[in-house]
Amino acid sequence: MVLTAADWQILLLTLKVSLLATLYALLLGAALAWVFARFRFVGRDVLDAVLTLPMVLPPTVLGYYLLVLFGRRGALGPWLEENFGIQLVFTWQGAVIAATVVAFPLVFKSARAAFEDVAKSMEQTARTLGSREIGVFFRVSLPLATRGIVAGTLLAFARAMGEFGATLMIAGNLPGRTQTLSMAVYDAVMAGDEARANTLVFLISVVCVTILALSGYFLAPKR
Amino acid sequence: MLLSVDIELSLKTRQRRQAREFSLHARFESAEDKVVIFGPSGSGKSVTLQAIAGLIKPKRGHIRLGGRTLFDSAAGISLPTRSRRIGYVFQDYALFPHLSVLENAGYALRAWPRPLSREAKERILYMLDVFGIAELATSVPSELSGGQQQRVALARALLRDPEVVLLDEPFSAMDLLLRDKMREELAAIQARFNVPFILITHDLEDVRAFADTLVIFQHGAVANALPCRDIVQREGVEAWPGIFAACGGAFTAAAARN
Repeated sequence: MVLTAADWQILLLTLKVSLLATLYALLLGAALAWVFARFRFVGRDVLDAVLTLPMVLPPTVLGYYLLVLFGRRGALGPWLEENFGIQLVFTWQGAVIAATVVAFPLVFKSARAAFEDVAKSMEQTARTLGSREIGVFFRVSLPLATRGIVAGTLLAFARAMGEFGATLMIAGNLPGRTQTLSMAVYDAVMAGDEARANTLVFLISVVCVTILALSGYFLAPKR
Repeated sequence: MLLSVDIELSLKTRQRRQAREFSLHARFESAEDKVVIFGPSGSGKSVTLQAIAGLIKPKRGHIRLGGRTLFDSAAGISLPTRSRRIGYVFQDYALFPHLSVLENAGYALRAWPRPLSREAKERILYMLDVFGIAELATSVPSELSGGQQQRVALARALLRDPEVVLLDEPFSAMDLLLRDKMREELAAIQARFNVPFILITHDLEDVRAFADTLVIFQHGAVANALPCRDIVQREGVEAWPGIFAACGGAFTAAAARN
């Protein structure tokens, strides 16, 4: 099995897109999870359902929503391009957005469960010991929720690696520009290039198995 | 320590999918350093303790401690928990599982995000030594026995320099032998640091061991407040059966209600 320069380029782009998407999903997911675990507010259940939607909607539907939002004639697309010069359609940045959206609920769900599992008496004790809310968060809540957040983040990364449908809709399948591993596999199979398909499938499998093994380690109960 | 509590609050609780409203009107005062709040489960003693610590906000009333007003609805005063200078020892001790014994005990001394100072570490080690657990400084809470965990929780509360320590049924999770031992330890620690405490319990032995002032709770109100130390000083140990009978009355009333 030999990796060509093009294969390496695809692997690097895939890693770049999924790592960035995972980072965004982690920051957004953990922050919102904390808010949901901590506060009751009007529309909480509806918002929860909307945030979980990417887990159940077909990726193509998500991609279509993203086009409606960020496309050249979309709701936000022209504004983004005028003010920030950001173009999301047919760019790798668009692929990052798509992967972030599909990966987000995985972080959100497990981080929320992790924050909700932190015993109230722990946080209250920290307050009686003089901690401000920011201290309570960084010294008690976050450390105690870390395992759950890390596990969700690893799953999110695996999901982002394998993202196909939504990415195809918004970023397209442009070799050398927006083509990720899963799309290259599709192209290789369609072109009847079995050797190449095998190589790419092997690559993506190795990365995903590694991630799942890691997340199994982090999900396992302590001791 | 002068303590004056007069609070009203109502909590919505859920029991077997049924929404219930629990209302509390607690009013008592004490000038003693050892206050025991006695009452059956669900009589409101835990809620009162949480209100004193600022973990629950009463609807109306006031809480005064020493010369300070911690809460006064009429004056619009409600100090946040972190400023109340109150040590709180939860029933399950609530030790931080991700921190060592030293870091647990010294939680209040660390000026986060900076690390613990050397002086703080020395102070913590001294305190751990007083409690006879200095050799456990690097252990984590899951490696400790129940008695050791309580010592850490108490050391942690004391290192906060509290004006009062609140103890929520501190011995309920222990076997009888350990209970006696920890009662003696708590009395010795109290005498040594001269720190006032309020302890809630439904165990008569705790009443006998600690109650200078005894406050008896009965479904959401104070049924009786007895200056036990004065009574026993005046009438001798023969006074205890009468005091215990008053305690028992709260249980009988609770049983009749259920």
